[in-house]
Amino acid sequence: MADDLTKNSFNLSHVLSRSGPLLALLVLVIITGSLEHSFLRPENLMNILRQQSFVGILAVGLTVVIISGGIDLSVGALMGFCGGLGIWLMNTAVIAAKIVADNSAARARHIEDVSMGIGGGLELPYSSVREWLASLFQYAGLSASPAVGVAIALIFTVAVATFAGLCNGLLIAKGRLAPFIATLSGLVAYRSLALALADGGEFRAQGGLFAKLGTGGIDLPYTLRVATETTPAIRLQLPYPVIALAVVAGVVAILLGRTAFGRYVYAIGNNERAAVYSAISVDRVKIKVYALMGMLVGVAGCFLASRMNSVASSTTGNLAELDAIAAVVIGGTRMQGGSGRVGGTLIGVLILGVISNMLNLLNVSPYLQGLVKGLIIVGAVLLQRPARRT
Amino acid sequence: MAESHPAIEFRSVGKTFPGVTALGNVSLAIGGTGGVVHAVIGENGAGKSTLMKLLSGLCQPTAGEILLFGKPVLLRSPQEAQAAGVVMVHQELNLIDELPVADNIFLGRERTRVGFINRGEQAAESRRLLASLRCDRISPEARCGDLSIAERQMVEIAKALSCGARILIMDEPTAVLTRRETEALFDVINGLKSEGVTILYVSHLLEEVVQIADRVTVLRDGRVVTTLNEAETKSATPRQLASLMVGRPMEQQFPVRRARTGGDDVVLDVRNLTLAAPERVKDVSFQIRRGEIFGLAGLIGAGRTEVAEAIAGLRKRSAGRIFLDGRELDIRAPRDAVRAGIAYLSEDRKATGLTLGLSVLENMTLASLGQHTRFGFLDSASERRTTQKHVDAMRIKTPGVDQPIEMLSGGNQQKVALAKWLETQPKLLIVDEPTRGVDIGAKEQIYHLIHSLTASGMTCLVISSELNEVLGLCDRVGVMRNGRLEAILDGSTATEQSVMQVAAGNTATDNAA
Repeated sequence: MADDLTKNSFNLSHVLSRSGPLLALLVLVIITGSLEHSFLRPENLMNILRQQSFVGILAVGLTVVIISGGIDLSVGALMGFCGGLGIWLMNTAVIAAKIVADNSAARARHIEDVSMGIGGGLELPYSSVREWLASLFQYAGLSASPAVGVAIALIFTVAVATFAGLCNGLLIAKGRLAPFIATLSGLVAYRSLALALADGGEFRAQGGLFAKLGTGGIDLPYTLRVATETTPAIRLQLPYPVIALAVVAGVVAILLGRTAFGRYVYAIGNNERAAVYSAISVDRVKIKVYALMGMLVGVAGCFLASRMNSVASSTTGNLAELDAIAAVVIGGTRMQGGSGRVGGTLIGVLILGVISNMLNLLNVSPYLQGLVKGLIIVGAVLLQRPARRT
Repeated sequence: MAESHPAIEFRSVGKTFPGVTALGNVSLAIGGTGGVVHAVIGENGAGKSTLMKLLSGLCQPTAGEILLFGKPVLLRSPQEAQAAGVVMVHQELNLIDELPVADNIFLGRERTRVGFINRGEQAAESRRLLASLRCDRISPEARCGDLSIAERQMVEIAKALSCGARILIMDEPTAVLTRRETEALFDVINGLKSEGVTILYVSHLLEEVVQIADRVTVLRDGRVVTTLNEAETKSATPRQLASLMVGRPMEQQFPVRRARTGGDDVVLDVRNLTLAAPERVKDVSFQIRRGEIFGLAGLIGAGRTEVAEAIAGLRKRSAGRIFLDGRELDIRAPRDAVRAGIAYLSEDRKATGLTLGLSVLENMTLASLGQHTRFGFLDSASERRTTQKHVDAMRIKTPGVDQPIEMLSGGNQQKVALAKWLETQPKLLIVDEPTRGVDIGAKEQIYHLIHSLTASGMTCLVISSELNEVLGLCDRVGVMRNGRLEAILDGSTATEQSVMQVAAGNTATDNAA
């Protein structure tokens, strides 16, 4: 029995391991800032935030998954698929809108036009499905404005992603599959779905409204360039994806820290059997965890697609799961589950972003960037590993 | 002359951790020429664990020195301790279930021939070691996971001997053994002693200490209270040892039997309970009345825990009905049982009773979080109030409610586990081995608590392998054998003999007493 008074609550290494990621981030920022002054310019910092926001949203979700003792490898592929699906649906809504505007004689041509951007001019699969969806939109009167079309596309995409997460959860909780296996299958399957939907090509968005979501933002009271006679002033913007990340992180942090669901997640990650004995519905909690993960992947996918205005079915989102997992681990969450915090993960996301940015600014060969990144990740995790027990 | 030195000598040994003194200035000589069984007893937190850890190389003293056979040693790891002849038989047996016995015995010290494991030699050597322990029936080829706990313990001891252990540390070796297995273990210990092995025997079970030990050292608060010599040990009673441990005379361990007050209405009614697995648990029927303490006794494997787990929704029933307060329950998951008013304190505190990575507070409220939820959010002030209330009422020793539960002593952990279930406001409280690995002070407290709870109308089902516990505590005792409830005895008239006779069956009656 652990009958000793030898363990105590105060522990320097514990404090260090909690604030370690933050220290590492500060050190990185100071080093990079002194090597390359342009790094500290507000627009550069904001750019890092924007770039990292997509992986950031995934990482916040993965924090919950990993604390619960699981893993989700399918998030990158699912994000790519969701991005593509979002564009596909939105384009369909655009078709529907045009059908309303024009007469039906032009209908076939429109479908052809819009679809050109998707399959690269090859014979298009699923055009009948698309036509049917378009007329459904039209019938429901939902295609009245492009904004409604975009909204439908987004909501439907997030719903599909949540359903995919739910399936992962069911496979893991009810099917007793190891999370690694269940989500590895997802990784392969969602990538294949994206390829099939785009016939191996790209999803390209029609209409300009969609792009606002990923590229726009809220003006901040900081002027980057003063207005001249010919050009208007340029203000520093807080991008929408960054706002989305902040909201997602805030909500998930509250879920984890302030609700029974969150407490159960920690309990299950620590000791699943004890959780069962404590009358917690472990299966239900797990399913919720993966469904939440799926939902966040859907959100990230929508923003990513909008930001790039196109999604390559074969590459978009590739390896994003590994970046997100790295961020979670750098942020101090235990890979075995049971402990971790969203705040740490955010710092991990920033560390990864600063590293990439630094390597670019310092003109490090792109071929070597992966090596440097790998070394820094290992270093960050080594620094905060728990002190060996004596 | 090396032979005149004690086997183990502590000279003013101290061990402090930042803020805590685990062991202060301990001087102690153990063993000498020839073998000896030297028991170390003390309450949880008295320093027994630290003493063992120092000897087995798991931690190092911050003051003083340790001498083995007269030579000062520095034991920086279990490997170094092993090289010096000290081996510990852990309470949680450190065997790998998937490997055969011989591989486990030589794990880390494989006998090899040109780089490959020499299975033949390992098997022969294992067979010889096991035979020397009179355990010929254990095959070196058997998978360790298929052995009984007692057999695994013998494998562990064989492993220790194969390292050439001259000093064997045994931590609560009988905690998981039946009476008969314990007797067999004692034979082995006496055999080892006659071969000159020094055995450091740590146990909570004072009856057994009196039976097996040649000398006894009592620790309290990190210091040696006294060491009884051979004559004193021979004449000591468990009661006297307990008083030495606690530092005050012990009252009677069990609260005075009280008149049951609950009336005659039946609270729990179990009819023909039959389990899907293990199949041997069949046709178990019993009733418990309001305010009653009902005991379930039996040998390990008799099916007591399985019955409790079925009532608590942790095990599937294949047949049988369960009624609570006259209403039939359809229990499919632990949640259903808790909702109906059944709480089950499991026997394995570390694996299933508590979540060691969480704090005292998080453990305390885990089964009753619904009470602390407002508008979907946790009310941490209310959680804190509840936890503090129990910490005060049960005198749980902890620096604060946010302390990781892992850092509490066994007794205090058990109190938290108990409080966690009381928070669900059960009508029926099932406690499985409620005092396993718990020191005497906490034991007393738990007994008192069970009494006062039942006095105020709660109904209690107690499962225990300690017969005196069942007999001292329970109004009635159900005795199980091989999956069946064989008899229900009256607690005030039942004796250890009468219970064992039923538990062991006719074939083993003579071993029972």
